Amino acid sequence: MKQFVLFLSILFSVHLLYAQDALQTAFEQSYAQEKVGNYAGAAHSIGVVYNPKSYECNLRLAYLKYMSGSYLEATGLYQKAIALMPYSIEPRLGFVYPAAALGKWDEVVAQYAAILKIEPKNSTVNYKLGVIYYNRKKYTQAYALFEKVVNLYPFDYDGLLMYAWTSYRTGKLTQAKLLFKKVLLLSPNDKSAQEGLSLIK
Amino acid sequence: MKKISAILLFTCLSLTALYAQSDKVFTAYATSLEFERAGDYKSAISTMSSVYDSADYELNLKMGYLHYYAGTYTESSKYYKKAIAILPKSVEARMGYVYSSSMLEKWEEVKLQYKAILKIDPNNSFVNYNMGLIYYNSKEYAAAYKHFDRVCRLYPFDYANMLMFAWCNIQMHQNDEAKVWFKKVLLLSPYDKSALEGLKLTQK
Repeated sequence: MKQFVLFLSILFSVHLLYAQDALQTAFEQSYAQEKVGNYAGAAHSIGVVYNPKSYECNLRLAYLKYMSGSYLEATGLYQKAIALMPYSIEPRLGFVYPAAALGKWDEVVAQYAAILKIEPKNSTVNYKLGVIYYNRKKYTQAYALFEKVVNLYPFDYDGLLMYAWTSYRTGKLTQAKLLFKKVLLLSPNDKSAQEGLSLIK
Repeated sequence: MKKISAILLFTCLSLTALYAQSDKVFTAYATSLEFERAGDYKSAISTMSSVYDSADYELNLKMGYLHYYAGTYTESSKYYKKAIAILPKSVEARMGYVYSSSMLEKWEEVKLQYKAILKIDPNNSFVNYNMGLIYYNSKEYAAAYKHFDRVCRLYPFDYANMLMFAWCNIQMHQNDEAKVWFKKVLLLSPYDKSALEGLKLTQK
């Protein structure tokens, strides 16, 4: 009986070792195919060893599906990765790309909001979510996000420009003028800033 | 009547002075950009110096940046410090300060700035990773572990952080955990020398 247990344990260890090797080989093959632009082939390599409980497999496969244009599949796989590691930001950022390609902007907003719960000061996400709200004409919500970005990066071109525009849209004209002028210090002939200034004058 | 005329005149003069100053500053920024494009940072500094105002955040930031590129790191850090004093919650000024302090190898000051940034933005992965590296290099592995661990939770499949987290585990004699992370590194970078070297150590 003892020998049988030992035999089983060795068998299990060998299996695990083989599984790791197989996974490593599959990833390696997928990189080789990715390098030559063969995303379908790269996805197939991962598909052979795919384990729905593996965070790394889901993340890698999702990325490859996105690159090969299979956006719906990509979002599904990213969602699995998120479910496995809900505190992780990388699959949420990955999810946003195929979701945007599918025009699922509400889902993009939901992911960005989830990221900001984890990392409230993520300036890229604050900025991108701000742009979405701005384009939806939800200027008050956009304003709060751009304000956050500008507080952290007070002399950053993108944050300043959008903060200037939302200030203008929310009727804070003196502030908007000041901000557009700051943009012009960074980018002297900036058309957008000049347009904004001309609207205030 | 005389009083009102005086006030009006004073206001007009002030506004003219303000616009002249504003135009001068604007021209200085534009000229400085031209010099920067040509790689002439010394001339850019001299241009900005002519309009420099120590109470202006943007001017201090710009001077800090220009001095950094001109290789005058001590000057650079002075200006960045002034910008930080004006806007203490600005991450960009603190990051600028870190670059010039690193060139001067003032690692304690770098650490202080990173700590200040983490107070503002605790999950800043770039700063957590760099802070981890500083602690790792000074052999303070438990402190390094906390920072790499934080990044691993946010970006569990990021090459640079996984590798450092694995090494940190080795240094803390947590070989099983190190093994897991080295193997994950090998998924991203199949023949990674550092990961293979680390894996060997875990098998000892």
